[in-house]
Amino acid sequence: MNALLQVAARIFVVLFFVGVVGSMVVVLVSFVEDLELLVESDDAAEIDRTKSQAYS
Amino acid sequence: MSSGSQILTPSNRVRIVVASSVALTFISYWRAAAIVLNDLGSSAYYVGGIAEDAFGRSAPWFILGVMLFSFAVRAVYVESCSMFVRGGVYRVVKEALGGTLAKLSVSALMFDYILTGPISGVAAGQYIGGLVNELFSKADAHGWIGPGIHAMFHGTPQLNVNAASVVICLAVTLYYWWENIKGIEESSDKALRVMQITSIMVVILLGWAVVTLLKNGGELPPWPTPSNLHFNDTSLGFLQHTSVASAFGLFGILMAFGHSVLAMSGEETLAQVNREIAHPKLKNLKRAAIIVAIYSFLFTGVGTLLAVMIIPQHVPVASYENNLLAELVMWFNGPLVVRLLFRTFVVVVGFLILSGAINTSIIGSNGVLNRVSEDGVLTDWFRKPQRKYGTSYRIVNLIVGLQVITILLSRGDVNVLGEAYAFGVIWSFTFNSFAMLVLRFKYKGERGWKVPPNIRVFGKEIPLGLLSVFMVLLTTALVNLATKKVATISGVMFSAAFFVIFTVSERTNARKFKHAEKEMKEHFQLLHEERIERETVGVRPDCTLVTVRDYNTLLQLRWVLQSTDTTENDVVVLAARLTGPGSGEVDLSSEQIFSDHEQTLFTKCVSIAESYGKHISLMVVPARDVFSAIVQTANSLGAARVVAGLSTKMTAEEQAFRMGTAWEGALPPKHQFVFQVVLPGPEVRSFRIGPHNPDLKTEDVMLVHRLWLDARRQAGMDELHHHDIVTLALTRLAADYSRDRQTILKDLRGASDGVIGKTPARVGPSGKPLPNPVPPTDPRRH
Repeated sequence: MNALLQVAARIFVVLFFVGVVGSMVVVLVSFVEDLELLVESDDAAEIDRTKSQAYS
Repeated sequence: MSSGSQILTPSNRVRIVVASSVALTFISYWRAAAIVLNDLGSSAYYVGGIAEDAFGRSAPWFILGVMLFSFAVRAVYVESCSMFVRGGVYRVVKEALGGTLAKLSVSALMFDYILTGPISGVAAGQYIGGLVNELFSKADAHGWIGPGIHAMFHGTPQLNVNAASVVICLAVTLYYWWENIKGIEESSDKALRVMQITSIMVVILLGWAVVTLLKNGGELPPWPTPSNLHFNDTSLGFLQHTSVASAFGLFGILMAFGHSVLAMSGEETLAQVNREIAHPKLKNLKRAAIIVAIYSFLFTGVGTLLAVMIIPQHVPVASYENNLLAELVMWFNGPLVVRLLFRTFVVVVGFLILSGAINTSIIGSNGVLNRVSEDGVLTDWFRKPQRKYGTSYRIVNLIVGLQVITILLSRGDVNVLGEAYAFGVIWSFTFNSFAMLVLRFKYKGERGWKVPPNIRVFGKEIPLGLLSVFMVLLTTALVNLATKKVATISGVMFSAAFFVIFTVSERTNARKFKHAEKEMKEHFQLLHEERIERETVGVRPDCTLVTVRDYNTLLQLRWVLQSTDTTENDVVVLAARLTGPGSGEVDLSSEQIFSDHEQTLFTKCVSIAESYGKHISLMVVPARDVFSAIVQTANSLGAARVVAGLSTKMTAEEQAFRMGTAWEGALPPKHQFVFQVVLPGPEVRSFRIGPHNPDLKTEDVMLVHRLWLDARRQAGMDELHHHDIVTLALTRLAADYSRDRQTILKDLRGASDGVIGKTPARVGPSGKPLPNPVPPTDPRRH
């Protein structure tokens, strides 16, 4: 049982750290992209028509 | 209805027009972010203490890591929302992996939602209890507590914080239970205001912490290396007596990450609010998501890091684990009074945000259960509307009942709740990301955005980013199964129970629906329309729209049919189908629309119409706000009047006011109509909705006439008309209003109290007093 756990733990560690590296790429790429979107000037006043109602 | 009768030809059946779109109130990305942060941000109050208790002082690094990783999870949710407006876990998993796994994933999500309430409420109680005890201690230190009180409490008076937490949590939960039974409107305004106050608190908290560090110095927490991880017996879970526990190595990092993962609970709310985000939807969703990610990174991640840096190492974790932010404030540089005042502010903000999370959890679980119910997974029994308020009270009762049991079982211990909480969080994320991965290969439809990076190998796209996120989530979820005993046992039991309820319910529903469908086909012909238009409904202009909800109170329909010649004026019966947050906004099938309730309602309407020998048209409109749905339908049909029964929770005047507010908010083109409320008697109250000619009192008409008569006698006034008198009066009023608004408003208030009509200053233009006004008639309504 312990041996099996050790093997599973090693596999999980590899998968986890590979996943973490890949996820950091996701974070970097999407963060830059979304930050540009956030600071981009927009017709915010028009968007913030919170009272407007319409059929979706 | 006789089930055995012969099926009628389509032309003989009653047509029911089913609108497949929902009337929504769209919100800006700031408001959407505020709603999500009310759920996600609340974890800042308790996650630091829970993680530090589980594996030691390096916890802040893992929380920072989890908050950074939440940027990637956010990307997965953005992709799912870009594919389905209803991008929640149930819809996505069902699309990708089928009904069984969808039911499992939604069971895990329910576990997450059910626990969000208790953990937030108990954490709020811990902060309040902690503050009260601190105030007692400080007062005692200053000798402000008398010997009598000392003797009574055998020392400094101290609250039993856990018991107080249970009481506070129960009180807040029951308060929101009642609000949800009554059907409170979700207000993004409230969420935005709470987040504005929270932001002020966060800025002061982080700023003051940095100043304290610059003045007093501080130590970084131990680096997140295996040697710095100190798991206790509880946090080792099932691994406690295995070789992995004694020499965990890098596996320990994974275990610690799993213990910190609840810091990002609340991401699912992003999918819930997506459908309400204003145009351009995807851009605004991404903006809301990045705001949420940055904010929670700073508040939860950096806040926890600063707390561990400032609170001295010699202070035992157990003394502040449930009061991390409050304890941090007490170690700030500054006078004690100011620190205590700021701590009170932190606790008040905590109470607002954490109690808001309780409400979010009830609304969220209600939304999810309504959604699966609409998909036929829960029987109609759960969806039966509350007789007075029309809400799905059985679902609300079930959710709150489970939350109350959880609160009592926890006995006010945040750590126990935190232990269990992570199960739902991680498994709903894992199911969602796995489903998204499968959909990359299975779903060929429109996709607004993809999680980067994606590479092409032999013409096939490999979703590297999505795969990476899934790998982290899956390994964390599996490791949590082994290390979080309480979570695994309670989570598996809870999810299994919900899964069984869903499965049995779905089968019962399927059987029942076959029968209902047959009945429906005999009597009703369903016409699905994306939008309501007069031509598609087949009614003439100036029709009468009758709103119905409860089949026991259809007085308004009887009154309309009695007084309307339907050969001249069409009558359309409208049932606005209330949908919860995140519920089916697209393609509502007949199975979703026609529960037992709707079937009985329409059958009764038809039989009433038949009893009068008159024709009616039936219509169903899904709606989040009933009044908006009615106004939009009335506009689309060009209805001359809308007739409703008296609401059980509003007066006729309040109903008219709500209708008027909805009219003001509706998009053009829009036209005026008369709104009539039929009260028992029957007595009918009429209101004009939209700009309209005012109903002038007789004495006002007389005044206009007398002024006109007098002016008309003067030279050069041959062309003077009555409307010229009104125009001049209004122009002067407008000028006075812009000059002296307050006085005019005071006079108008007097007018609404009937004071103006009684003033003796009603003098004619020639200076002679006017004759006594005609006795006031019934108050006119505008």
